[in-house]
Amino acid sequence: MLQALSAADAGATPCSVRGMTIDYGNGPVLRSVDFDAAAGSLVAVVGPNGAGKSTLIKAVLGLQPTVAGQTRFWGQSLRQARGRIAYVPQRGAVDWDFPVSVREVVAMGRYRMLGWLRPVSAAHQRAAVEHLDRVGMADFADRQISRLSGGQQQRVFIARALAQEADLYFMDEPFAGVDAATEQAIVDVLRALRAEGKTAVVVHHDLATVRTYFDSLLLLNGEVVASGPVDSTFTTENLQRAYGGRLAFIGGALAPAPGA
Amino acid sequence: MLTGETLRLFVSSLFLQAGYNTVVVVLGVTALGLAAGLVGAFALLRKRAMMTDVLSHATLPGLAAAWLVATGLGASGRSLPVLLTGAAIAAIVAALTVQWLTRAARLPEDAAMGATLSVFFGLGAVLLSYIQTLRTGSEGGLARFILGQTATMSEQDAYVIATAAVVAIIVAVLLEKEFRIVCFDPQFGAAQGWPVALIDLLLMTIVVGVAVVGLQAVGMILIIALMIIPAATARLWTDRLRVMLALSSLFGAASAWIGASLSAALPKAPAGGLIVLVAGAFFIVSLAVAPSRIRASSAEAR
Repeated sequence: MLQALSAADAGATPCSVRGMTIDYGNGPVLRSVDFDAAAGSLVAVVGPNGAGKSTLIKAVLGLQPTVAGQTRFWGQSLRQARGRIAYVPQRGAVDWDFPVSVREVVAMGRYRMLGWLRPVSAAHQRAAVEHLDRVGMADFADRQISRLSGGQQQRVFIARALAQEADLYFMDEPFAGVDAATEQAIVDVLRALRAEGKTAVVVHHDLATVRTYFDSLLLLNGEVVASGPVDSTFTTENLQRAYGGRLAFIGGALAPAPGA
Repeated sequence: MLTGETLRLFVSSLFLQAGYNTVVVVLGVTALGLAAGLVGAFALLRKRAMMTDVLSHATLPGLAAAWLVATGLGASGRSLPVLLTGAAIAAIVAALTVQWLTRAARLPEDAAMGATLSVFFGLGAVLLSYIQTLRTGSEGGLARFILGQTATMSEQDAYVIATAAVVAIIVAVLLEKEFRIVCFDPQFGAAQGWPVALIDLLLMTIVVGVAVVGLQAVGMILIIALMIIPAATARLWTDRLRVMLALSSLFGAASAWIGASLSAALPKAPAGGLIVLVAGAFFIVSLAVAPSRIRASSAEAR
C-alpha cells in the first residue's frame, strides 16, 4: 500500500505543524496550533466561520505569513517538499472568465515539473486529460472554463491537483456548493488517494458527512479544539466547544453520529 | 479640415508612400502598438489596468526632473534616453508608493492608486510650469509627452521603440506560461513554489518599458488606452489566451498604424488621441460583430 512512497519516509509524518500562530494585527486568528496528518489518512479540518481553517492551510503552504511556528513535511522543509504537495484553492479565488480551456487549467498542475520557460509538451497535455478523466471531465477538455457548472469547475480544480502527482493534498472547501455527482467524484478521488497511501487535508463544512468521508479530524476555533481519529474526536462535547451556542441547530445534522 | 489634400496625405501615409520621415513614424508607432497590445493583454488579465495608468501618469515628474538635471549639468534637455530614464525611475517610485500605501498605511488599493496618480501628476505639472518660466528654448519638448506628438519622432526614436517592442515580445513569449499562472491563479502558483512577486515585477517592468517608450508617440494620459482597449477588443473574439495575445497585438498595431497615418494628415491633432480613437472604433465594431457565443459565455459566469 505504501509502495508509492520511498522507503526513507515510510515512518515520517507527511505534515507536522508545531506552535503555529497567525495574527493579521488585530489579535491572533490562530493560536499555537499543533497538528499531525498521518500517512494514508483523510483529514477533515472543521470549525465555525472564521475559525481559521483556510488560513491554516495557506500558512502551511507558505501563502500566509505566520507570527510563530513551523511546519515539516516528511521531516523536510516546505522548500524541499514542495514538489510532493498539491493544492486545491477555494473555487471563488479565481476569475472563471479567464481565457483558458479546461485542459489548460489542469496543465497548470504540471508547471512545476516543467520549470522556467518550458512550454507544456504534448506528453503533459495528455497527462492533463488523463487526470480530467479521473473526475469524469475528459469530455470537457477543450471547453472554456466559464462554460462549466460550479461542480464541474470544482472537479477541474481537483484534476489540476491530481495532475501535480503529489503525495500530500490540501483542499480548501472542495465540497462547497457542488452537485451530488461532483460530491461523489471528489469522495472517489479521496478514497483512491488513500488507497495509494497518500494523504489529504480537507477543509470541510458539512458535519453530516465527516464520519463517512474522513478518518481524522482537526477541529478548530481560533485554536485546536480537538484533533485525532474521527471515532474519538467527533463528539458532541468537542463540537459544542468549537461551535458554542451555534451547535443547537446543527444538532439535527449530527443525528447519525453516536452520542449526538 | 477634411479636405481632399488631407485624405490624400492619410492614404499615402497609410501605404507608406508619404516620404521617409512619415514612414519612420508610422512603422515606429506600429511597433509600439504591437508591444502595447501584447503587454496590455497581460495587464488586463492581471487586473492591473489602473496600475498601468498610475505608472504612465507618474512619468511626468520624472521627465521634468530629468530635464532639470540634464539642463543644470549643461546637457540638452531634449535627449530622449535621459528623459525616458527619468520617466522610468518616476514610474518605479510610484509603484513602490502604491505598494507602501496599501501595505503600511493600509489604504484600499484604489485609493492608494488614485492618490499616487494625482500627486505625481500634480508634481509633474508644477515642475513643467516652472521649466516653462526658464525660457531656455528647449522646454517645448516636454509638453509633447502629455498627449503625444509623432511629428517630432526621429529615426533613432523609432529604433528605440522598435527595440523595446522586440524585447517586450521576447519576454512575453518566453514567460507566457509563468504570466498565465500568475494572472489566473497566483495562490496556486505560489503554492507550487513559483516566485509570484518576481513574475509580477517582470510583468510590470515590461509594461513600464513599453509605456515609457510610448510616451512620445501616444502621451502619458492615453498610453493606457493603447494597452487596454486592444486587449479588451481581442477578448471579444476569443476565449483562448494565445489567440487573445496575438489579436491584441494585431489590434494595437493596426490602431497605431492607422492613427499615425491620420496624425500625418492632421498634424495639429494630438497623435495619441487619434490612435486611441481608432482603437476605440475597433472595440465598438467588435462589440457589434464579434461572435455572441464568446460574450454570452462571459456573461453567464458572472
